[in-house]
Amino acid sequence: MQSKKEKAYGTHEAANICNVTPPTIIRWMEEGKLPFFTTAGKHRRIWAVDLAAFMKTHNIPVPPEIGTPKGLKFLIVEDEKDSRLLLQRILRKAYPGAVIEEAKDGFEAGYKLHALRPTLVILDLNLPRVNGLKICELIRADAQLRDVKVLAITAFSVEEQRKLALAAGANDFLSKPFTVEALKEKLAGLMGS
Amino acid sequence: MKASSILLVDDEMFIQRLCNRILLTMGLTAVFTSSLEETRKTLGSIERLDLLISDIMLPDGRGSDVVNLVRAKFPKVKVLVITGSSPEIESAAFLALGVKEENIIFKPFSISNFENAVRRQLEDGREAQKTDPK
Repeated sequence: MQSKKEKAYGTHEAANICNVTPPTIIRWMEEGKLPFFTTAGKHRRIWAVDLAAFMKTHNIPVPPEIGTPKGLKFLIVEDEKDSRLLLQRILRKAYPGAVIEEAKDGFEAGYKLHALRPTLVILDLNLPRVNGLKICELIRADAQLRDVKVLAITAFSVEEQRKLALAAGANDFLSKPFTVEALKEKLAGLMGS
Repeated sequence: MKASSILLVDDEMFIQRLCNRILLTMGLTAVFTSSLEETRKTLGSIERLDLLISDIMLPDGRGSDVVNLVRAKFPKVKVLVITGSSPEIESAAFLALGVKEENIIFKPFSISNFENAVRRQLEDGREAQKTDPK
Protein backbone atom coordinates (compact mmCIF):
# COMPACT_ATOMS: atom_id res chain seq x y z
CA MET A 1 0.00 0.00 0.00
CA GLN A 2 1.30 3.43 -0.89
CA SER A 3 1.96 5.72 2.04
CA LYS A 4 0.04 8.98 1.90
CA LYS A 5 3.34 10.69 2.62
CA GLU A 6 4.72 9.72 -0.78
CA LYS A 7 3.14 12.35 -2.98
CA ALA A 8 0.68 15.23 -2.75
CA TYR A 9 -0.54 17.45 -5.61
CA GLY A 10 -1.30 21.13 -5.70
CA THR A 11 -4.50 22.49 -7.26
CA HIS A 12 -2.88 23.23 -10.63
CA GLU A 13 -1.16 19.83 -10.85
CA ALA A 14 -4.40 18.06 -9.96
CA ALA A 15 -6.25 20.11 -12.58
CA ASN A 16 -3.73 19.05 -15.24
CA ILE A 17 -4.04 15.40 -14.28
CA CYS A 18 -7.84 15.53 -14.37
CA ASN A 19 -7.96 17.65 -17.54
CA VAL A 20 -10.02 20.34 -15.85
CA THR A 21 -9.35 23.90 -14.71
CA PRO A 22 -8.03 24.76 -11.21
CA PRO A 23 -11.38 26.38 -10.19
CA THR A 24 -13.09 23.04 -10.90
CA ILE A 25 -10.65 21.26 -8.59
CA ILE A 26 -11.30 23.92 -5.91
CA ARG A 27 -15.06 23.48 -6.35
CA TRP A 28 -14.73 19.67 -5.94
CA MET A 29 -12.74 20.32 -2.77
CA GLU A 30 -15.25 22.77 -1.39
CA GLU A 31 -18.16 20.46 -2.20
CA GLY A 32 -16.41 17.80 -0.14
CA LYS A 33 -15.97 15.48 -3.11
CA LEU A 34 -12.18 15.64 -3.22
CA PRO A 35 -10.31 15.23 0.10
CA PHE A 36 -7.47 17.70 0.66
CA PHE A 37 -5.32 19.21 3.37
CA THR A 38 -3.82 22.67 3.85
CA THR A 39 -0.12 23.40 4.20
CA ALA A 40 1.32 25.81 6.75
CA GLY A 41 1.43 28.38 3.94
CA LYS A 42 -2.36 27.91 3.39
CA HIS A 43 -1.93 26.03 0.11
CA ARG A 44 -4.32 23.21 -0.67
CA ARG A 45 -2.82 19.78 -1.37
CA ILE A 46 -4.32 16.43 -2.41
CA TRP A 47 -2.70 13.09 -1.59
CA ALA A 48 -2.05 10.98 -4.70
CA VAL A 49 -4.06 8.06 -3.31
CA ASP A 50 -7.06 10.34 -2.65
CA LEU A 51 -6.84 11.85 -6.12
CA ALA A 52 -6.61 8.39 -7.73
CA ALA A 53 -9.62 7.17 -5.71
CA PHE A 54 -11.63 10.25 -6.68
CA MET A 55 -10.75 9.81 -10.37
CA LYS A 56 -11.69 6.12 -10.33
CA THR A 57 -15.02 6.90 -8.64
CA HIS A 58 -15.84 9.53 -11.28
CA ASN A 59 -14.60 7.47 -14.25
CA ILE A 60 -11.73 9.84 -15.01
CA PRO A 61 -8.81 7.91 -16.55
CA VAL A 62 -6.08 7.52 -13.91
CA PRO A 63 -2.49 7.88 -15.16
CA PRO A 64 -0.21 5.02 -14.06
CA GLU A 65 2.09 7.28 -12.05
CA ILE A 66 -0.66 8.10 -9.58
CA GLY A 67 -3.07 5.17 -9.97
CA THR A 68 -0.76 2.35 -9.01
CA PRO A 69 0.90 2.17 -5.64
CA LYS A 70 4.63 1.58 -5.96
CA GLY A 71 5.78 -2.02 -5.70
CA LEU A 72 2.32 -3.47 -6.34
CA LYS A 73 2.64 -7.15 -7.32
CA PHE A 74 -0.02 -9.67 -8.25
CA LEU A 75 0.15 -13.43 -8.60
CA ILE A 76 -2.60 -15.07 -10.64
CA VAL A 77 -2.94 -18.76 -9.75
CA GLU A 78 -5.30 -20.34 -12.26
CA ASP A 79 -5.07 -23.52 -14.34
CA GLU A 80 -7.28 -22.30 -17.21
CA LYS A 81 -5.31 -20.32 -19.75
CA ASP A 82 -8.27 -18.17 -20.86
CA SER A 83 -9.05 -17.19 -17.28
CA ARG A 84 -5.41 -16.28 -16.67
CA LEU A 85 -5.39 -14.07 -19.76
CA LEU A 86 -8.63 -12.38 -18.74
CA LEU A 87 -7.35 -11.71 -15.21
CA GLN A 88 -4.07 -10.38 -16.64
CA ARG A 89 -5.97 -7.94 -18.85
CA ILE A 90 -8.19 -6.72 -16.03
CA LEU A 91 -5.26 -6.23 -13.65
CA ARG A 92 -3.07 -4.50 -16.24
CA LYS A 93 -5.86 -2.05 -16.98
CA ALA A 94 -6.87 -1.42 -13.37
CA TYR A 95 -3.31 -1.25 -11.98
CA PRO A 96 -0.97 -0.03 -14.72
CA GLY A 97 2.67 -0.52 -13.83
CA ALA A 98 1.99 -3.35 -11.38
CA VAL A 99 4.06 -6.53 -11.65
CA ILE A 100 1.80 -9.42 -12.64
CA GLU A 101 2.95 -13.05 -12.58
CA GLU A 102 1.06 -16.25 -13.31
CA ALA A 103 1.12 -19.80 -11.98
CA LYS A 104 -0.70 -22.70 -13.63
CA ASP A 105 -0.92 -24.94 -10.57
CA GLY A 106 -0.40 -24.94 -6.85
CA PHE A 107 3.14 -26.23 -7.17
CA GLU A 108 4.22 -23.38 -9.42
CA ALA A 109 2.37 -20.99 -7.11
CA GLY A 110 4.35 -22.27 -4.14
CA TYR A 111 7.64 -21.45 -5.84
CA LYS A 112 6.51 -18.07 -7.17
CA LEU A 113 5.03 -16.90 -3.89
CA HIS A 114 8.45 -16.77 -2.28
CA ALA A 115 10.24 -15.39 -5.30
CA LEU A 116 7.65 -12.64 -5.93
CA ARG A 117 6.23 -11.88 -2.46
CA PRO A 118 3.05 -10.53 -4.08
CA THR A 119 0.80 -7.86 -2.65
CA LEU A 120 -2.22 -9.91 -3.63
CA VAL A 121 -2.85 -13.44 -4.92
CA ILE A 122 -5.87 -14.26 -7.03
CA LEU A 123 -6.18 -17.93 -6.17
CA ASP A 124 -8.35 -20.45 -7.97
CA LEU A 125 -9.25 -23.13 -5.44
CA ASN A 126 -9.61 -25.99 -7.90
CA LEU A 127 -6.08 -26.52 -9.06
CA PRO A 128 -4.31 -29.63 -10.23
CA ARG A 129 -1.83 -31.39 -7.87
CA VAL A 130 -1.77 -28.94 -4.95
CA ASN A 131 -5.16 -27.29 -4.50
CA GLY A 132 -5.78 -23.65 -3.67
CA LEU A 133 -6.88 -24.34 -0.10
CA LYS A 134 -3.50 -25.93 0.65
CA ILE A 135 -1.73 -22.94 -0.90
CA CYS A 136 -3.84 -20.61 1.22
CA GLU A 137 -2.93 -22.55 4.37
CA LEU A 138 0.75 -22.39 3.39
CA ILE A 139 0.56 -18.62 2.93
CA ARG A 140 -1.03 -18.08 6.30
CA ALA A 141 1.41 -20.41 8.06
CA ASP A 142 4.41 -18.58 6.60
CA ALA A 143 5.67 -15.55 8.52
CA GLN A 144 7.28 -14.15 5.35
CA LEU A 145 3.96 -14.22 3.48
CA ARG A 146 1.74 -13.08 6.33
CA ASP A 147 0.84 -9.76 4.65
CA VAL A 148 -0.10 -11.28 1.30
CA LYS A 149 -3.78 -10.68 0.52
CA VAL A 150 -5.65 -13.65 -0.92
CA LEU A 151 -8.73 -13.44 -3.13
CA ALA A 152 -10.05 -16.98 -3.57
CA ILE A 153 -12.14 -17.86 -6.62
CA THR A 154 -14.04 -20.98 -7.56
CA ALA A 155 -16.86 -22.23 -9.75
CA PHE A 156 -17.69 -25.33 -7.72
CA SER A 157 -19.75 -25.90 -4.56
CA VAL A 158 -19.57 -22.17 -4.05
CA GLU A 159 -20.93 -21.83 -0.52
CA GLU A 160 -18.93 -24.75 0.84
CA GLN A 161 -15.75 -23.55 -0.91
CA ARG A 162 -16.28 -20.02 0.37
CA LYS A 163 -16.39 -21.26 3.96
CA LEU A 164 -13.33 -23.46 3.44
CA ALA A 165 -11.37 -20.66 1.74
CA LEU A 166 -12.09 -18.16 4.50
CA ALA A 167 -11.25 -20.79 7.13
CA ALA A 168 -7.95 -21.45 5.31
CA GLY A 169 -7.11 -17.74 5.58
CA ALA A 170 -8.37 -16.16 2.35
CA ASN A 171 -9.20 -12.46 2.78
CA ASP A 172 -12.12 -12.55 0.40
CA PHE A 173 -13.94 -14.81 -2.02
CA LEU A 174 -15.41 -14.50 -5.52
CA SER A 175 -17.49 -17.11 -7.33
CA LYS A 176 -17.16 -17.83 -11.04
CA PRO A 177 -18.45 -16.59 -13.37
CA PHE A 178 -17.81 -13.05 -12.14
CA THR A 179 -18.13 -9.67 -13.81
CA VAL A 180 -15.14 -7.40 -14.35
CA GLU A 181 -16.77 -4.87 -12.06
CA ALA A 182 -17.27 -7.42 -9.27
CA LEU A 183 -13.59 -8.40 -9.48
CA LYS A 184 -12.45 -4.76 -9.49
CA GLU A 185 -14.62 -4.06 -6.48
CA LYS A 186 -13.14 -6.98 -4.55
CA LEU A 187 -9.60 -5.93 -5.51
CA ALA A 188 -10.19 -2.32 -4.53
CA GLY A 189 -11.63 -3.47 -1.19
CA LEU A 190 -8.62 -5.67 -0.48
CA MET A 191 -6.05 -3.13 -1.63
CA GLY A 192 -7.64 -0.49 0.54
CA SER A 193 -7.83 -2.65 3.64
CA MET B 1 -2.03 -43.92 11.90
CA LYS B 2 0.51 -45.01 14.54
CA ALA B 3 3.18 -42.41 15.40
CA SER B 4 6.08 -42.67 12.99
CA SER B 5 9.45 -41.04 12.80
CA ILE B 6 10.12 -39.24 9.52
CA LEU B 7 13.10 -37.26 8.25
CA LEU B 8 12.64 -35.03 5.19
CA VAL B 9 15.71 -33.63 3.44
CA ASP B 10 15.07 -30.85 0.92
CA ASP B 11 16.68 -27.46 0.45
CA GLU B 12 13.54 -25.85 -1.00
CA MET B 13 11.46 -24.17 1.70
CA PHE B 14 8.27 -24.52 -0.32
CA ILE B 15 8.71 -28.31 -0.50
CA GLN B 16 9.46 -28.50 3.23
CA ARG B 17 6.40 -26.43 4.07
CA LEU B 18 4.12 -28.23 1.64
CA CYS B 19 5.20 -31.69 2.85
CA ASN B 20 4.87 -30.54 6.46
CA ARG B 21 1.25 -29.47 5.82
CA ILE B 22 0.45 -32.75 4.07
CA LEU B 23 2.06 -34.85 6.81
CA LEU B 24 0.25 -32.88 9.53
CA THR B 25 -3.05 -33.54 7.75
CA MET B 26 -2.14 -37.25 7.85
CA GLY B 27 -1.46 -36.97 11.58
CA LEU B 28 2.30 -37.26 11.07
CA THR B 29 5.20 -35.02 11.99
CA ALA B 30 8.69 -34.91 10.56
CA VAL B 31 12.14 -33.53 11.19
CA PHE B 32 13.39 -31.32 8.33
CA THR B 33 16.92 -30.71 7.10
CA SER B 34 18.18 -28.78 4.07
CA SER B 35 21.58 -30.30 3.30
CA LEU B 36 23.76 -33.37 3.65
CA GLU B 37 25.78 -31.70 6.42
CA GLU B 38 22.69 -30.65 8.38
CA THR B 39 21.36 -34.19 8.01
CA ARG B 40 24.64 -35.60 9.35
CA LYS B 41 24.37 -33.34 12.43
CA THR B 42 20.64 -34.00 12.96
CA LEU B 43 21.02 -37.77 12.68
CA GLY B 44 22.99 -37.79 15.93
CA SER B 45 19.90 -36.76 17.88
CA ILE B 46 17.46 -39.11 16.14
CA GLU B 47 16.92 -42.39 17.95
CA ARG B 48 14.35 -43.96 15.69
CA LEU B 49 13.61 -43.46 12.01
CA ASP B 50 10.87 -45.14 9.99
CA LEU B 51 10.96 -43.13 6.79
CA LEU B 52 13.49 -40.97 4.97
CA ILE B 53 12.16 -38.61 2.32
CA SER B 54 14.96 -36.97 0.36
CA ASP B 55 15.40 -34.63 -2.54
CA ILE B 56 18.07 -35.62 -5.06
CA MET B 57 19.83 -32.32 -5.63
CA LEU B 58 21.19 -30.81 -2.43
CA PRO B 59 23.56 -27.88 -2.06
CA ASP B 60 26.37 -30.08 -0.73
CA GLY B 61 25.59 -33.52 -2.10
CA ARG B 62 23.06 -35.81 -3.67
CA GLY B 63 20.10 -37.77 -2.42
CA SER B 64 22.06 -41.00 -2.83
CA ASP B 65 24.63 -39.64 -0.33
CA VAL B 66 21.78 -38.93 2.10
CA VAL B 67 20.41 -42.46 1.67
CA ASN B 68 23.85 -44.00 2.35
CA LEU B 69 24.42 -41.71 5.36
CA VAL B 70 21.04 -42.46 6.93
CA ARG B 71 21.19 -46.18 6.21
CA ALA B 72 24.53 -46.38 8.00
CA LYS B 73 22.62 -45.62 11.22
CA PHE B 74 19.18 -46.97 10.31
CA PRO B 75 19.72 -49.86 7.86
CA LYS B 76 16.01 -50.76 7.66
CA VAL B 77 14.72 -47.23 7.06
CA LYS B 78 12.18 -46.90 4.27
CA VAL B 79 13.10 -44.41 1.57
CA LEU B 80 11.11 -42.05 -0.63
CA VAL B 81 12.90 -39.88 -3.15
CA ILE B 82 11.49 -36.60 -4.50
CA THR B 83 13.04 -35.01 -7.54
CA GLY B 84 12.52 -32.46 -10.26
CA SER B 85 14.80 -34.35 -12.66
CA SER B 86 13.60 -36.60 -15.44
CA PRO B 87 12.79 -40.24 -14.65
CA GLU B 88 15.45 -41.50 -17.10
CA ILE B 89 18.30 -39.67 -15.37
CA GLU B 90 17.52 -40.51 -11.78
CA SER B 91 15.85 -43.90 -11.63
CA ALA B 92 18.97 -45.95 -12.38
CA ALA B 93 21.03 -44.45 -9.53
CA PHE B 94 18.29 -45.10 -7.00
CA LEU B 95 17.42 -48.53 -8.29
CA ALA B 96 21.06 -49.36 -7.64
CA LEU B 97 20.53 -48.29 -4.02
CA GLY B 98 17.50 -50.53 -3.75
CA VAL B 99 14.96 -47.70 -3.99
CA LYS B 100 12.12 -48.94 -6.15
CA GLU B 101 10.80 -46.83 -9.00
CA GLU B 102 7.40 -46.52 -7.28
CA ASN B 103 9.18 -44.77 -4.40
CA ILE B 104 10.56 -42.00 -6.56
CA ILE B 105 8.17 -39.02 -6.71
CA PHE B 106 8.65 -36.52 -9.48
CA LYS B 107 7.97 -32.81 -9.00
CA PRO B 108 5.46 -31.38 -9.46
CA PHE B 109 3.70 -34.09 -7.50
CA SER B 110 0.11 -34.14 -6.34
CA ILE B 111 -0.88 -34.16 -2.69
CA SER B 112 -2.52 -37.57 -3.13
CA ASN B 113 0.61 -39.06 -4.77
CA PHE B 114 2.71 -37.92 -1.86
CA GLU B 115 0.19 -39.12 0.74
CA ASN B 116 -0.13 -42.53 -0.91
CA ALA B 117 3.62 -43.00 -1.19
CA VAL B 118 4.18 -42.08 2.47
CA ARG B 119 1.35 -44.32 3.64
CA ARG B 120 2.59 -47.23 1.52
CA GLN B 121 6.14 -46.95 2.79
CA LEU B 122 5.13 -46.70 6.44
CA GLU B 123 2.84 -49.73 6.08
CA ASP B 124 5.63 -51.68 4.34
CA GLY B 125 7.93 -50.80 7.21
CA ARG B 126 5.42 -52.08 9.76
CA GLU B 127 4.90 -55.32 7.85
CA ALA B 128 8.66 -55.82 7.70
CA GLN B 129 8.89 -55.25 11.48
CA LYS B 130 6.22 -57.87 12.11
CA THR B 131 8.12 -60.52 10.15
CA ASP B 132 11.52 -59.45 11.53
CA PRO B 133 10.94 -57.78 14.91
CA LYS B 134 14.69 -57.37 15.65
